[in-house]
Amino acid sequence: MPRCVSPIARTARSCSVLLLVLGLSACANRISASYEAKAMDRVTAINEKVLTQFDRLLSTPLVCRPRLVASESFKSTYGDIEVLLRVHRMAEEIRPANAESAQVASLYLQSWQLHRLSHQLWAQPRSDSEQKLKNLRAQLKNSADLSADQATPEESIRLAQQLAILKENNKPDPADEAFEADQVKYASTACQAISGGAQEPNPRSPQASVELVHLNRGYLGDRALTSMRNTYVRFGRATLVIEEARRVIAEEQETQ
Amino acid sequence: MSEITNAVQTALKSALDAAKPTTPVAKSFVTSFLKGRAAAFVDIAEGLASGDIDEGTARYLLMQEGLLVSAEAEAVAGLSKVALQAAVDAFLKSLTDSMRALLKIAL
Repeated sequence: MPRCVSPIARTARSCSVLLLVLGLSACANRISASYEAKAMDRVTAINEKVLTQFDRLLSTPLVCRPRLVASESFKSTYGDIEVLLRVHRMAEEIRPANAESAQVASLYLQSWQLHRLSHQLWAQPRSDSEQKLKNLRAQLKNSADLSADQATPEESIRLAQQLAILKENNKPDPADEAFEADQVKYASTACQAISGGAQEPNPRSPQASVELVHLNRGYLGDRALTSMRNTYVRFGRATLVIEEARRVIAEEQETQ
Repeated sequence: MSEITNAVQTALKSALDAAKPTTPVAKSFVTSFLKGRAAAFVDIAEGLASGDIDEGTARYLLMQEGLLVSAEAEAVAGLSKVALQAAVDAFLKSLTDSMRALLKIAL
């Protein structure tokens, strides 16, 4: 597959295909919700906040990202965005004949909840953090009532820790705890050094420490963050495309 | 990475077999929809192969990508009445199986 197509071109191409198909097919569809400008505004506002958050993360040196993610002001943005997504899903659910937008909103929220938790798990061994993400995913997937409040990621972590205490076999391995402590200590020291004017360490250097490599290849690494940012661009676009198609339908119907 | 490109082709074929589009337009649509989304999966696989991301992160990103493709399929299918979910499921399964074999990881 040629790799010369830029993400912007890919995005534009995908969007065009979606719009074309929706535009062509929607004329025959009269059981879909009507166009709502508010939905467009809501999603645009959410996407703006999501992209701003990724921009802040990506423009921060790698070793300083854990400190940013743990800061109170940044932590609150995860919660703020989750609240906006919940409100958006609720608004989509009460619109008549709107199952598709409601489902997209629900998946967007699920994705954000997993993403939020993943950033809190950056210091843990990947197998351990994967299990926590899988547990949350199963919990979200198995929820019978999509509107019901899910446990927040923090509550999920606490729950997982409590379960681990209850189950002798699942007690955290002391080695894992040491691993986590090493990661935290490394990131803190390296970030402090950078703040003091030291050069940013290169995670691809053969001399890069294990902690730096783990950080770079994990949920807060450049590659993962870029991939996730692109994912949210497409999530937002999926919602906007539905509304745009409805607007086109409404205009068509008015002119007929 | 031609092996991954081949895996995408195989996944597309599985998707078409599963969706059984009855008209050339529907077939073309299912193909173009999934092809447009395959690039993200290839990107993750290449990131893993080049060592830019580790296995756990790759699995996490693939899970997120699966959620997104489902959302996109929902958005399109809801309005266009094109049955995409079977195609998406088959596509994701085939692609994951191929990548697991190619990259020797447990996705």
